[in-house]
Amino acid sequence: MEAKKLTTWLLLGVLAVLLSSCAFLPCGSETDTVIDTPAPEVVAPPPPPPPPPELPSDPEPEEPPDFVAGTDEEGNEVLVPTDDDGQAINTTFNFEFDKSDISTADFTRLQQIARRLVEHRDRSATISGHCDERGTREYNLALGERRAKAVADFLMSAGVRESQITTATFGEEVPLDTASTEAAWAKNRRAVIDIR
Amino acid sequence: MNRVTLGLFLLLVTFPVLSLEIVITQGNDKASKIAVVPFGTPEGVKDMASIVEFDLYRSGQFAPIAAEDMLSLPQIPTEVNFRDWRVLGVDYVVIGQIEKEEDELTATFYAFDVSLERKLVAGKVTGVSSQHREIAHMVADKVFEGITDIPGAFSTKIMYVLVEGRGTATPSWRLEIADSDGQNAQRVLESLQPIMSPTWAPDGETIAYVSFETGTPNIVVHEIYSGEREVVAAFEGINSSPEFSPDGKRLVMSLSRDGNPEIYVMDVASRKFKRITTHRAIDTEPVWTLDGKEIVFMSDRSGNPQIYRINIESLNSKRLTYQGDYNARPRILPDGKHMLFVHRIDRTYHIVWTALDNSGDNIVLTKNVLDESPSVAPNGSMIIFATKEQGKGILGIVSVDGQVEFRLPSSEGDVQEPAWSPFLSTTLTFQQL
Repeated sequence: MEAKKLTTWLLLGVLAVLLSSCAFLPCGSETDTVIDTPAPEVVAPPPPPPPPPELPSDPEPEEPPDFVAGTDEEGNEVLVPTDDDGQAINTTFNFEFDKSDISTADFTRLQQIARRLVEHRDRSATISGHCDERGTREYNLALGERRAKAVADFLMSAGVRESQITTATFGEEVPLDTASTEAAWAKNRRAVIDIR
Repeated sequence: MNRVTLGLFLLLVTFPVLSLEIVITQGNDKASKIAVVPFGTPEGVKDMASIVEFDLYRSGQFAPIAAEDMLSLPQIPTEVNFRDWRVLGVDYVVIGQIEKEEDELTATFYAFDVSLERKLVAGKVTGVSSQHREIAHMVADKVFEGITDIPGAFSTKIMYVLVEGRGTATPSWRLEIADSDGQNAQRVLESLQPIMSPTWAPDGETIAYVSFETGTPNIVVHEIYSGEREVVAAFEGINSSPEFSPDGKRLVMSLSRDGNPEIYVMDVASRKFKRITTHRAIDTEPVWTLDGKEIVFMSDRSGNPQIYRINIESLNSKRLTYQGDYNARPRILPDGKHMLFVHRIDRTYHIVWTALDNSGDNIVLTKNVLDESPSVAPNGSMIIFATKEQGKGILGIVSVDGQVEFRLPSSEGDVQEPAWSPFLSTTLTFQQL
């Protein structure tokens, strides 16, 4: 049972790395962070640029922006990465109790964020790890770091440079929801990517 | 490094703030009956006997009788008639008188054993009138010691973190120090970023804590009376869990500068660091054994949080806890032979103690859902801890035998991470009679 779960996870992980390395950006660029996996044969071409406008007066559909303006949990301005449709991507990732594994359901979302950071090497991401109130504070401080680093590792394996990433932990000190309920705890166990 | 830099309001001197109020939640039916007779008190001076009485009560070892039930109200030894107390079943009697001269206040007190018909302790405590409560606490300390042979710890202080606006966009953190009964609270520090893990140096005048004021958790050493403070560990990653060695010359801490949290010992004078643990797991929450030769700490190297001890010279380590899958935040009791820690039972967290040599079972002290951060009084009689009640962080105090429990709720915010001071030096004078 455990072995099967692990295998599935590993497969998804490898798939994630493969996808992330080249699927959304031109491969083999000298400036890209080195990834151990060989580049796959099939490379998805980048979306073609929109044709230049023929008539200046004609309102053309613009290419969706890569980032939209947003705020972090404290209300400070940040850049929120967008998906292909220009929709803002939720940059908060949740975890199981006392765990720092990224849910496979979050892989796509993380890939998309990684892609924006790869496309914009001048942008940097701060990843803050948080825990729920259960368990001791100092241990939770360390667990928050582990969660932030799990997200950082994923982004780096998807091509984001280490120099673009800062990790931070707040342990259980800054909850989003102060209730002592399963729902509140689930919300508070998180890693948040803030891009500036 | 993290770029987040947020405001900090630093107060160089402490100033009084709202005190914590004690609520007794569980009394001790095995406590000795004691009569603290109202002291002879000059006009304009507040009663001191009620403070002494409450101190003795909250130790869990004494059950005071009400003044209206007393058959006589002696103030000097010759007025004590032991029969009056024997018929009431009283074990001990405390009497006293207060004198005021200019600004000087003197409390003269006597404690008697009723069955032996014998004086146990007597003395004079002198201070200035603003030290009224302090004088009363010292009287209680001396009476407690006279009866139990254990030094009283009523004159000690407690430090804690108070959080306002938790869960909002603008929470704030304060570090406060109050008397051991929650009174006379003073603010030491206020920050818009978290403050964690406050701890006392053995001198009782220096503290250390973790502050996020630069955006990341760094360790600060702070002189309470001068307000002087210095960041002693600000490496990349986590700088956390400071604890002074018993001689005050070293600080043990957990640093993740090498990629994951490891235990380090820092020499306070030279600022030299020595790495103690080497493991890819989380190693944190270190605390010294009383001989200063070993560190007891928490690690999840076994797959879940458990407590270990390690010799700082040989670096030989040994696992100490095996019961349950969550044992963390150890503190050594003043006897040097037992430790307190947080232990999970099913899905709830409790303060327990056990023998350091792992020779006995866990003794469960608290029964709430989220008990954490235990800290022990320097005489080993009481344990303060943090818990959550009706959605609010509050402090609880429990006697080491688990018999008496009380709460120190705050009308403001959430109170957490209490740290009991060591025995403190005093400007009061004590003369034994």
